[in-house]
Amino acid sequence: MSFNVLIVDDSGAMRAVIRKIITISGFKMDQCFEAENGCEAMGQLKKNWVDVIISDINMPEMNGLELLKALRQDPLYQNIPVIIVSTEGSSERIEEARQGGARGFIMKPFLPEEIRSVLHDVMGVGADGEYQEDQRNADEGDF
Amino acid sequence: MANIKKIKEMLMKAIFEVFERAFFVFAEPVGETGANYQIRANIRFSGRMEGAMQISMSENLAKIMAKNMLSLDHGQVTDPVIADCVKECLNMICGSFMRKVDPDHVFHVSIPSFELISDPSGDGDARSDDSLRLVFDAEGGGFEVMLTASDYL
Repeated sequence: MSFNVLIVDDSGAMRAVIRKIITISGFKMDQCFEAENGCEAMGQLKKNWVDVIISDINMPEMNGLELLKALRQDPLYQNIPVIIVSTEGSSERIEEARQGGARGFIMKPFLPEEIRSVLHDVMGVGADGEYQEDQRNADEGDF
Repeated sequence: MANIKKIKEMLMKAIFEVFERAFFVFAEPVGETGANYQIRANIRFSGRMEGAMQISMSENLAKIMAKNMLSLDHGQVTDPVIADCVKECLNMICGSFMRKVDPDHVFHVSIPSFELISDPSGDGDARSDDSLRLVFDAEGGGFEVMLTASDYL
């Protein structure tokens, strides 16, 4: 089973790094879409099937927290897992993201292993790269 | 005074963390490099502390950082890629520093700006008499990070 990934970050360099890490991590990625902010992300979702979103917080137009809110308000998108990758990492902010529905949180600068590990956990992918039925409570996340 | 020392240590840690993890560049703190910087990025922050941070560096170092971060060949490193990498570098330093200053509460950080330096002594958001300035040498050139903040003295 392969997954379609949407990477949302206003830095093209950061999107490229995350994309590369996912590619070499063994995670089975089918298509990778990119967006510069939350608004563009919503546009990508209208055009493409997305299995997981990896999003920054601090972006112009629509930030990552606003994107979380927009996703939760739409029945079509409210169950798409979101992993936040941000320079912001206070406990208050992490809690805000968790309350907003984020399933994972990674702080920049990150190690490739951190992206791989959270992505695999959130998507229920085992060490062999194969999808496994997620037995956890839906409210649990990787924070 | 003890507070300044702590702030300096936290900023230094944040700089090493970002340069080593994201750009594979190992920096050495020095008194002065006498370096001529061509590139600068600025960012503002507010929260428990309010102020600005600035990074200035040589174009050559910025090229090496972009090349390392994105695994590019030298010819693939364009001006927009350099600008993006330097802004992201400062964004990460600022975020990492803020997490060390106050791990519990939210800081608001602006979208970083980028400029080519025409006047090396010119003032950005972070420059003032009571700025904390840290100078480094690294393979590829020198750089400095300047922090100006209220309430840290």
